[in-house]
Amino acid sequence: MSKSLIPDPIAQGLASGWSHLDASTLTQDRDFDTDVVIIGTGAGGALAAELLSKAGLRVLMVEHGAFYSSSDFRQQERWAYPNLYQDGAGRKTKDQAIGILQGRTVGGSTTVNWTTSIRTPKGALAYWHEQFGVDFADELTPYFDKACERLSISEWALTPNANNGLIQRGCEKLGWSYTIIHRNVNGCANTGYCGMGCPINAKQSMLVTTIPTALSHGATLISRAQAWQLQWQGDAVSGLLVHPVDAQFQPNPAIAIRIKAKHYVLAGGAINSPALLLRSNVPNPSGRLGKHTYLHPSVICGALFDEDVKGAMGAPQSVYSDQFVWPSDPQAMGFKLEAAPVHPVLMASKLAVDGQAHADLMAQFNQLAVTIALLRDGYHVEAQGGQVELDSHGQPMLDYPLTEYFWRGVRQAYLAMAELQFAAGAKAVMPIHQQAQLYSSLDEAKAAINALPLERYQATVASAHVMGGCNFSADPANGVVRPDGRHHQLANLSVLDGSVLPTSLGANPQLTIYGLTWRNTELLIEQLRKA
Amino acid sequence: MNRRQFIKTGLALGTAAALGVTLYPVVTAESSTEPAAQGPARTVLLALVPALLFGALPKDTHAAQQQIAATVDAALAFLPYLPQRQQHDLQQLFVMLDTELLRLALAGHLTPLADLPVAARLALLHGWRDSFIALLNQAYSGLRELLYGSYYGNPEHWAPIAYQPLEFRSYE
Ligand SMILES: Cc1cc2nc3c(=O)[nH]c(=O)nc-3n(C[C@H](O)[C@H](O)[C@H](O)COP(=O)(O)OP(=O)(O)OC[C@H]3O[C@@H](n4cnc5c(N)ncnc54)[C@H](O)[C@@H]3O)c2cc1C
Ligand code: SF4
Repeated sequence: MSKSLIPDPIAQGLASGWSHLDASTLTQDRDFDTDVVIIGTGAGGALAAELLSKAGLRVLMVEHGAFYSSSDFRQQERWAYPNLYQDGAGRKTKDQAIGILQGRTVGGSTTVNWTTSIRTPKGALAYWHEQFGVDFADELTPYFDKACERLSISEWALTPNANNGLIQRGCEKLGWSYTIIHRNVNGCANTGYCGMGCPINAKQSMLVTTIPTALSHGATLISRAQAWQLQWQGDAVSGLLVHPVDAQFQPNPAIAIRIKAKHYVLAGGAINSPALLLRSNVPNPSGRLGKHTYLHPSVICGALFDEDVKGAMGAPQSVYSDQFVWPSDPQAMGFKLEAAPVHPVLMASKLAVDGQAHADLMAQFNQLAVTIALLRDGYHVEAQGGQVELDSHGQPMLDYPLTEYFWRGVRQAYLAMAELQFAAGAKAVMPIHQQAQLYSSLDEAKAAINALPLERYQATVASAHVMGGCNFSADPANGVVRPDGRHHQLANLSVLDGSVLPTSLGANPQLTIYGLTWRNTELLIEQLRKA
Repeated sequence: MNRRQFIKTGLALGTAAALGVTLYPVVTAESSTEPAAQGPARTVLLALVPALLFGALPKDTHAAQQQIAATVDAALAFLPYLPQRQQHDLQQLFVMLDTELLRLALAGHLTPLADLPVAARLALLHGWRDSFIALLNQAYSGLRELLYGSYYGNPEHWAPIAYQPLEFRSYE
């Protein structure tokens, strides 16, 4: 297909005169002055940018990643990971036990996410009310409705691909609950490349929705620029220091971009937002800044089928099961069951075996299905999440301990995934763990899983849902920001992204972040008008 | 890992400290993008790829050599995207493995990595995987991910796995 056949709204917008600066081209310092500066252009930042610029405010967006669009995207992981993901998709927890996928590009993680859209589960809302004094139970509903309309979120109407179909089939056999996923897509061709940037702009990510609107309403975007530090005095932020980044997205401290704004919105996402506040040494009387960062740490189970699965193709996620996510036993860690797209780099790098065994599995690439269990962290004393620290370069590291409670949940999750996969007709299953093998019956799998040593490094653990670190709370002693996103101590600073969540969700986070950001940006607009 | 290996590894880490090779991030201007810093990295990766990819590499020696070289090039090109902290940690690992004294202590012999039979190189990697020392577990997992990612990222290596991606335009 030739380039010209696919319209690129970003290329068209830039040609029409959008205000965009690629900071990596700067050779000297620059100063900017604006009403609102927004750090990060993901789910939270870009939606805030659209609403604020439509309200007539002068908006400046600062984004660490590049302004890539469908004309740049390649359906190759070797291009997508280094160019669109934090740390080239090589982000790890401090002890390297968990791999973390997070976007780093205009549109943030929404540019590379898998389009699953779920409203905040009742269990999470109830817990926030009880523990953090914040009652969002009914209040977010109208904002979810707005977000669903804005981003074309609706139930996926096509037949799930085989990788997702197995979840549906297995659940039906076992009498487990399952749900057909709602996706934020418009004209999706079922290609399966959501994680590498949608090649046809069907995914309604921030890149093709709110960012174009903000730019068309006069906002400015500075890409390839890492916001480094907020300057503050007393109870107010007085400026923002930003550094351009180089071709590999490493900051260049020799050049400064100084930004003065009336209001500062931090939306770098979990890990990154708290890191900027830690670098800025802002007041932190609750002691919670950077702490309680949640991951939905996820474990994986592969399954071999006789027939082709071709898990790379088709909508990456279209069915999930919540059978185990809110267990009645308070000592059990809940987990959500989903599928993950099977592309070669993701697959090959996560498989826990090597040498001939690795080659043998890869040879059956198209017959391999992949199920993941996302463990719901943040609801138990032994699941208090991780802590963001700064390394000697000022970059974040997440120290995330894996506890006995977590490993008990992992064993249950492996057992459930194996049962599901066999029920769906798998001929063999294999938890992705260094000591696991292919098991050809459920009994064999159960015995082996019950005997597996569950320890860090042995089990492959990954995350694509980073939450928390700047949690909201009614009481300043219990959080970093207020329920409306305003910082408890610094009056002209808001945090509008996934870092404000006080627990994980037990559901994929994007729609929660859209709903919450929509509500809080409307409140902010009102507050700024009054001021 | 048995007790003997454990003690040897402990020795290696002790030696590293004695030689001033810290195992924690140090801030220097050096970066793995510089050709000088690529020396040890290239040597070590060239030695490890044939072991990890045993079974995946083509039987034809020339073709295999080409794939090994392409994989190491891709891995080296990827490293500068990692945070500087991780780059330094890896760099130190490469230097350690390329340093004879440490190789003796770590691997138990003085033969350069590249002269060991492939099975022995894989055994060395498994020693790290099964070690009680977190740093070695990390080295194993980190190198495994880097090298498998670099190998299977290359469209020229997709024929045996029958992965046929759609291309929306020509890329190069
Ligand atoms: C591969 C993948 C698949 C996913 N699939 C789903 C899914 O199917 N459904 C779902 O609900 N969720 C999914 N998620 C998660 C979801 O996309 C995120 O939870 C959500 O986008 C987070 O929004 P955010 O605003 O907090 O941050 P992000 O969307 O991550 O955006 C933050 C942005 O800020 C930028 N930034 C950070 N720090 C700075 C700084 N200092 N200066 C300048 N810029 C900075 C980053 O580069 C990034 O672009 C997925 C994520 C990934 C990575
Ligand atoms: S499946 Fe393909 S077309 Fe559909 S949203 Fe994802 S990348 Fe775009």
